[in-house]
Amino acid sequence: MTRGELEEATPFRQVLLKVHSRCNLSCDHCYMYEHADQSWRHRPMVMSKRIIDTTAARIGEHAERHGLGAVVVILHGGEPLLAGAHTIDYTVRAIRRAVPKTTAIRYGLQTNGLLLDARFLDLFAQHGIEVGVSLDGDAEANDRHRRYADGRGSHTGVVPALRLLQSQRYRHLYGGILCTVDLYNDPVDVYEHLLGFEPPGIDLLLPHGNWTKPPPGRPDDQTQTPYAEWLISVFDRWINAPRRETRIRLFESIISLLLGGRTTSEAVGLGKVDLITIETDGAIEQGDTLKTTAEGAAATGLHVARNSFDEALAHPAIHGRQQGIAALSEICRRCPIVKICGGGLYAHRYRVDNGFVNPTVYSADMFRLIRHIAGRVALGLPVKGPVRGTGV
Amino acid sequence: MLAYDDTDVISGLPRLEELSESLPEGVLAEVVRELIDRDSIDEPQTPFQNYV
Repeated sequence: MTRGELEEATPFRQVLLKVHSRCNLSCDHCYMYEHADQSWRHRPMVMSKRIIDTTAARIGEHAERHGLGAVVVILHGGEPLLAGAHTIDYTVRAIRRAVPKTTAIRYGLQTNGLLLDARFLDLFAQHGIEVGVSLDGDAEANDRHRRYADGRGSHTGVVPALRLLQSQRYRHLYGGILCTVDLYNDPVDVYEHLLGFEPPGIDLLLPHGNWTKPPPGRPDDQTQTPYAEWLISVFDRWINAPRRETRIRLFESIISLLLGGRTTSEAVGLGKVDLITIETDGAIEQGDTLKTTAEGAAATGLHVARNSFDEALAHPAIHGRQQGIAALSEICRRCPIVKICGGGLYAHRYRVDNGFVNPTVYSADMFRLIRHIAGRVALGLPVKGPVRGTGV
Repeated sequence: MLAYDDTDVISGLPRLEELSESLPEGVLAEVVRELIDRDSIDEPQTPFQNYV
């Protein structure tokens, strides 16, 4: 990469810290442990103070070098709360010390909720750490996948954490609920169950899969769109409510993109990748959903002790993911909704014989969903010219 | 192969900057108002989706 290309690169504005590499659950759909990449087996369980300090210095160096006004730091795992309150407190303080005062830091933490208690939340309140909790629906829906290693379901254990986040004392820390779509679950039942916990936002995630290892229930027949039908049921329930009961990032991103705005999700749109992952051993990696595709797919060979984040920007894989539409498959480039779909989540484009130069494996579902949302938007807003064939 | 008809609906949609006033009530209008008001400077371009 030339110096000019580096100057034009989009700096990293999101840093995902794997503060702990293990989990107290054994969910069968987990992208960390249950897919192609098994590198977690060889990594330290907890990020050491030395790696935390070095990572903090790299974040500070990058923020200063690019004059970043803000950076998002996501504490992740495995299950990040297994790292303990002391490590989390140390991490946040180290980053704050290392990053220029002119750079705002937004902290987030994604947890399964089982260890989340008032002690953790008081610490998070001190540092302004926003919390997302993973839950796939009611006990029957959630516990089909989110189970302990001995087979027990986790729903009962997560509810107290969500009740704490609902409380007035901790409400300001409540980021929302992350829910992985399961076609076996009734979509509206799932949505309404999650609404019972008053989340400010819900992230509906499609289960990981690709053209070589398709997602569960995703048929080869591209005229069938079971995931779109599931999501459309939730969309219709959400959009037709008398008031906005919660934010749903996937739907709001599609609406924004349809109206010429930007995405708020890596799953849609043509935004340039600006996320970097730091593993517990200090390895610098790409987004770790790539671990669902092939062993080592997320690796860069770089390490915080030896390499700056600018060197990661120059890595061919990361550079390639900042090329927008030019980096997409020919099918995607010719598609009339490419600016909205964006080719879908990068990991979902993988095929073993040609890598990532493919549409998402959810291409047919995305096409159907986007057309449906476009039709509903057209009905609800003043539209230029005649509207026909809304696909609703 | 996907059917690409009906995409004229998408090309006929207004741009956010054309929607400053006279939005109807409801969830869609609430979302659009927030999109119009959003200050996106320094926001990530591709926010990580395994975190809400």
